[in-house]
Amino acid sequence: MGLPLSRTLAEIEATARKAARGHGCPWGLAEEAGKAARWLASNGLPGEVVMAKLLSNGSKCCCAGGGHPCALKQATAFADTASTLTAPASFASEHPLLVVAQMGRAMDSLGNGLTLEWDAAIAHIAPASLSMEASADILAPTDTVTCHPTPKTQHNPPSPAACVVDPASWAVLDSLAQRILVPSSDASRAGAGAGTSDND
Amino acid sequence: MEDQIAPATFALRPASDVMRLARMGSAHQTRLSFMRGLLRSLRREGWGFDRPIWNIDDAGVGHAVYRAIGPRRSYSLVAFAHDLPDEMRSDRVIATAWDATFALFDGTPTAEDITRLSQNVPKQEAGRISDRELSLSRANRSVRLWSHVVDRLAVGEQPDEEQLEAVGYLMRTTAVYGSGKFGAADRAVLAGRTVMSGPFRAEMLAVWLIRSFSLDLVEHMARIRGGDRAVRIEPQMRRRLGIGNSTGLGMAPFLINHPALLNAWMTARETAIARVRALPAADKQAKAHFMACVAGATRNVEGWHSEHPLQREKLAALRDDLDQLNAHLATDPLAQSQPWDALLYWSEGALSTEGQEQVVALILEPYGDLVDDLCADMATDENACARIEGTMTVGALRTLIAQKYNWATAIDHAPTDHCARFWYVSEEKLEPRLGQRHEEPGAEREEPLDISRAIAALDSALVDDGNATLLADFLMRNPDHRHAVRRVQIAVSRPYSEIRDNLIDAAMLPIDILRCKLAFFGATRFDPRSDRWVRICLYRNAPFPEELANMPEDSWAYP
Repeated sequence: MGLPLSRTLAEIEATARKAARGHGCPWGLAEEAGKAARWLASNGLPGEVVMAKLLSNGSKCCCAGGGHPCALKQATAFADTASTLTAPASFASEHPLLVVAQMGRAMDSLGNGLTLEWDAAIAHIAPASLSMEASADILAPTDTVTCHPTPKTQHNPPSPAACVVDPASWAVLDSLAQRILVPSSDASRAGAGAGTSDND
Repeated sequence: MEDQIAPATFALRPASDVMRLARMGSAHQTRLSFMRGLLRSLRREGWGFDRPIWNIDDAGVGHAVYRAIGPRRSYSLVAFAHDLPDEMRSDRVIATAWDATFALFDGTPTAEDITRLSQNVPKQEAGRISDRELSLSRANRSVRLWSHVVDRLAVGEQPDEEQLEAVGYLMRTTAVYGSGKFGAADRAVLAGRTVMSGPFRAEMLAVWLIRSFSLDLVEHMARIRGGDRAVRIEPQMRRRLGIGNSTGLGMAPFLINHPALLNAWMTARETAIARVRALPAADKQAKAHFMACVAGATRNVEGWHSEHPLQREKLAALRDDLDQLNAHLATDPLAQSQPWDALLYWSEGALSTEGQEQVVALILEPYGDLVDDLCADMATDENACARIEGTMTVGALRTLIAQKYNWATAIDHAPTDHCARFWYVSEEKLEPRLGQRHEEPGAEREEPLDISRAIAALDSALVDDGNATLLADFLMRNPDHRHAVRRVQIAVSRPYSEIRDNLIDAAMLPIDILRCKLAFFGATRFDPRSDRWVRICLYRNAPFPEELANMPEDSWAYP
């Protein structure tokens, strides 16, 4: 066992964004992946693990294949219309924590409260606040996650501190993120700097 | 007293003018620049400063700690001085060794902290710092000036003024990393800390303390060489040395990737300008203050040199502009009503863009009481405005594009020259770079900085949908346009969020983006070394920490 692997929220966001893009997600959705991973991590949840699982499932992004929307795309679409959520809504999710993240971010913006409930956990969300009680594996898929609009009463703010991340998940994200980098060439190097010495 | 109060509603300059690269690339530092705001805050809060550790040997190798002590917190610059062979000295991000390396520590470091930092900070990107640190940076000596200053001080003489003026600094920083990079504390850690709450405050504090270190080290080396004969630099001359910075493309994507923040900076500056323009008259004191700053700006441009053909042309125009401004001021134009508005109106007809932006910066100088409060509005949380409102209709979005992005949809991106470039991140040190789309490989890994092209593509795609369609439905079918939709929604209430030029055009100059950002930092003496690389000077003429409390507030920008 080595030392725990610590990563800052900025690094978690950037790496998840690049990994999603490396997986083939459109940039706009890759940005959602980064921000969702950051939100989860700041609330003490394993954002990097969820994202590594999501992005390891299938050879490319659901957007490219035209197949069934992935859990990120589904949760994001739901959050896009969160401003009109007035009655309880239910659906299945491969990654219920992504629903928590995307709806949590939506509540941060909209200033509303929300309760999300599925077989493994119940999450009370308010702007910049999450309190969650888990009774089973929160990473497991679920047939039914139910959202109820609720008053915003909780006070359990996110933390800006660095997080200990799961090394295996981090390695998955890091490897996907490498795919968006361009190998160096003489041309790219020459154009990048002043091309002059710093010895003056 | 009613006529003393400026209406805040005086029209701001339009984004169609302010957000063009040609104008952004002529920006000058102002009272609202981050380093000036930082020094005002430190002075007002009565911060103290000390140097608890100076452990540098006769070869100039070792470490030192510079501490800023405030009413509630302290911050410490931990500086490592190295012995760098000349052949390893490079200002490129891909360098692997430097003359000096630094971390800004949150509090007072223990011996264990310093040991940990000594094992990581000298390696920079290849090391790892913790969230007890707020920034990571490095600097190289200006070899020419460094040798000269050591030689002179060692024999008891002061440095030659001309040489000092020509370079302007003893060390150049080549990267100052902050907020969450390489393990450093996330920006959110600084939320709510008064002095640190503005943009780039931690980085600006680190650079200010690095300047002190560069002077202390050069005097240390002179003392080692000259012993009792050695002298320190006279305070007046010492203050004329700032800290250099060498900046490349890496800084440019930041402004494009932070549209809400860019809007906040621009809105603060433009609001300050509008407040001053709205003043019905200029009193004697304000006029005198302004005239002194014009004289300072005129002296500054005389000492501002560049070898880059474009900047030489701009500097020649600026010198001519300042001559014209001085001649115009001799006719007492400030005696009329709304004198500052009249002066800007005159400048728009008479001066180059460089000159116009210089005048804009100068008219703010006498009015700290009226504009300095705007510094508090320059920070913003980009995440807070990232949510897409999916219940907006396609028709409403099309209307917004027509209103806010006609500059983008008017560009034809098809011709080779209009999409000649692509922004990417290199494998090498994750450095942002700009490639030639039609000549180099890698365009399939393009970063989403082609804003005008993306908006134009979104506008075309929306045509296929009915105006009543909800954006959430459109995005489910067209996820490729999500990035562009977000930008349009951010721009709804943020007029200055977008650079209104084609950022992949063959003729686009990245140095214009760098100049704008660096002017907000407070940089002077812009000296482009290519179309994507610029050297600047920071904190030139600023007080040193030990002088801050005893010098008049914020009086150093136009000496």
